[in-house]
Amino acid sequence: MGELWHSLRRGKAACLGAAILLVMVLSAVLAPVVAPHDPLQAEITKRLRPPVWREKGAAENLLGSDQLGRDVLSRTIYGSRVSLMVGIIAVLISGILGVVLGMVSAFQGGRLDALIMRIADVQLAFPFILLAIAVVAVVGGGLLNVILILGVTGWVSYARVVRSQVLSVKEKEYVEAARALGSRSLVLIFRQILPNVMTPVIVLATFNVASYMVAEASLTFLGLGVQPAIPSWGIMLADGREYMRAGWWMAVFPGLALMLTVLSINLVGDWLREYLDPRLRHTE
Amino acid sequence: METTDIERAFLDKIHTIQFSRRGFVQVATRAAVAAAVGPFILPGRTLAQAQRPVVVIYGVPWDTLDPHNHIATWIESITGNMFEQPVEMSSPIDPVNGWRPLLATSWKRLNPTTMQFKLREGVKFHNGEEFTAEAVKFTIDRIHGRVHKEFKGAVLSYYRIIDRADPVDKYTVNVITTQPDPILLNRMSGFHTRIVPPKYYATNSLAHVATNPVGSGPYRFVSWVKDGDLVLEANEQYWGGAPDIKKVIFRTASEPSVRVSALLAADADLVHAVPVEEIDFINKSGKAYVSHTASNRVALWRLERHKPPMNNQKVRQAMNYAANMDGLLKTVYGGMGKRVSTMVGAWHFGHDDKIPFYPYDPNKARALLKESGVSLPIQINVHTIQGRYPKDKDMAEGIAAEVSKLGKDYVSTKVTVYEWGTHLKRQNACENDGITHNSWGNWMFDADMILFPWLHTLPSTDPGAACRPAKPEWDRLIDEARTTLDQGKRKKVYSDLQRQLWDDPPFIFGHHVADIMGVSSRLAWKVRQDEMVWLKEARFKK
Repeated sequence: MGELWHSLRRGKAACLGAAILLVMVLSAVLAPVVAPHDPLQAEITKRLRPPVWREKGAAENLLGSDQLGRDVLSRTIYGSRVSLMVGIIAVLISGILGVVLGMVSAFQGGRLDALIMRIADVQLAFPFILLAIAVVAVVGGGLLNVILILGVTGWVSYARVVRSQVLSVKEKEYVEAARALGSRSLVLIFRQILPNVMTPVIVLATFNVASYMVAEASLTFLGLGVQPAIPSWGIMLADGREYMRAGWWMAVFPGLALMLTVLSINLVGDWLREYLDPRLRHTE
Repeated sequence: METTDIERAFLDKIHTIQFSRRGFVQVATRAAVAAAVGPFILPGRTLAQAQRPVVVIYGVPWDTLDPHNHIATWIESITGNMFEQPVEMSSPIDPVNGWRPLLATSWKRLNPTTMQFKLREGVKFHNGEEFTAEAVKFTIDRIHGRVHKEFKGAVLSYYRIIDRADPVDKYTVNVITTQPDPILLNRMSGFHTRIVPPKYYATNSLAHVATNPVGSGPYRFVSWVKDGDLVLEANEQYWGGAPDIKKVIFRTASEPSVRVSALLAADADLVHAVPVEEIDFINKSGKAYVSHTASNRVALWRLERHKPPMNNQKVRQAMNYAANMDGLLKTVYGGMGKRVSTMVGAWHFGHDDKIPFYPYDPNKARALLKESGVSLPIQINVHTIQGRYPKDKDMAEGIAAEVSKLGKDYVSTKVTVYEWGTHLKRQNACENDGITHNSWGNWMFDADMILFPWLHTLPSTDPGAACRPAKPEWDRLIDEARTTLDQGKRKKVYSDLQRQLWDDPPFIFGHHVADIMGVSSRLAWKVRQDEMVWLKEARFKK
């Protein structure tokens, strides 16, 4: 732990990323405490109020208000909940699915391996947005469906990484030794192989959290994702595009929040990749 | 097109020109000077005619150019440049004195079920066919599916009452109804009675005529790429005089900001549904201006009374007291539109201005919810669309927000946005509960046009027909008003019915939808109240 902290402190970019991410996560968790208003509370007489530092701005709405008079700051804070939740849960689903399928593929080999990899190839060849639109058309939009779509369609990269790692690791001497000592397959997988293939999976997962957050915002922006009652950055961006001249703050602040969160996750991901890669760590 | 002698001489001259370097510089200099100075010395009229085509941008695409087989106002608007009907309505609308001759020059009622029309002589369709009484007969036969058996016209309830058209002579026709029809003239001004050339429409397939329209209007069809450009050119033989604008292109851009940008970049001349917030910016740009009006379309939010909690009259009343329609119109709607006390628009026949608007009274709404006997708090789903009409989603969200202000002990709301096709499908299947966004373009300018399709139990193809209120008393009143020629009696019946509607509201009563058009500075044009964009009314500014 001490080594991890020491390494993080040495990387300025990673430090910055971790700080931003911490703020975002804390504001998501503590949204009811830190948000000055109910994000759904509309006050139509105060609509399109500019941020506090602009003419006609008011301290009541620090980052301005939207077309229905809802507080942009409060909606941005609550929006982080949706984005982070979608990113994390979708990564968990796709990660677990991908790791299991990658393991099975590498261990079983033969026809099952070929079948899983061909399915992966087909899915990789299919544009994500097109696939998402098709699925949403059948099952409908909404937060849960967006999470499921992202989770279920994202397994391929994990499966391929895990498969190639397992193929390499399972031939290592320590695995051979454990097998010779009579370890059962499950024990072999969980004790010897899984810990040694998780490094790239963790790095991949951090980057995917960021890309899923962008994907959620994109789907919602296209009207395929989260419905208006739930404050999300995608909804705010979609609403804001109609008011770019009359209320630029409606789109700019959630856009900024999304950009900063994605940037921070990527910075932390970069650092994590370097930290977990023994070759890069030793060259420092 | 034949080349004239002058053009031929010019082309010969061009072919024989040999440029030296100095000659090239001289020609280029003259061209540059001509381009710079020309606009200031050429007469405005010549310049206007030499300018680029007029581009009209709508927010939604069209899937047919068949004048009879659709229910979309923008298709009615676009095809109205190519087709004409016997009668037209003035703008501003006046359902008593506003009727104007179009393909008919005069009309008179012969008996309760027969109206005789004298037709305009010397009019030709764009394919050369002559316009006569036979064309009127053919058109009525066509909308009833007597020409093509597979023709299933939309919203049959509007013209089912017209039985047939009997030609009396070449330019006189009697239109016969199955029962006395007080609004036959209104029907003869609608898109279902746009007259088509019999020979062309009888001998070509429905699919062909849907993409290759032939009418008698001020513009003729040139080309159309589905979801792409529709190109029209002026009909120089138009009976009302050749239009000032010679070439028109209709296209679609779903994003309002894209439409406004196109207008300001001079890529468009007329853009539909400009956001309220952009009006000042456009007016101050010097490149375009905004023309707006409260239009003929009425927005209203259906209270789904076939399912709880809206099956309770007091809950429906509470929704009207809580919706704060005045506040929403003043703020979210930018002060545009015009409130409607029930369902009949302010200038529609049958409107009764003694019927008040529901006031904003949240305390009364809470009291009604308590009295209603429903288990509180109630969950209300609000079903809406986005981008089809100005502020449709914002108003739905606004209503949800205002209703939510009654308090968590009373109500919670959830807004769901649907794509248009899904929205219609859900309504037709009566899947929605709570509140559903609706709007209705009353192109007959009469109470019957909105009360019959939305309240009468007679089966029809109109959206949500299966989940109508089903009140025999309302059916009786609607039938009574639509079968008497006594306009005074009709007015009274509609007043009685609207008082009943106020007391037992089937909708959150809404407002006239604002029609906000962006217009290029090079055009003189004023938005019509009936949502039609007729280019024959536009002029290049001198």
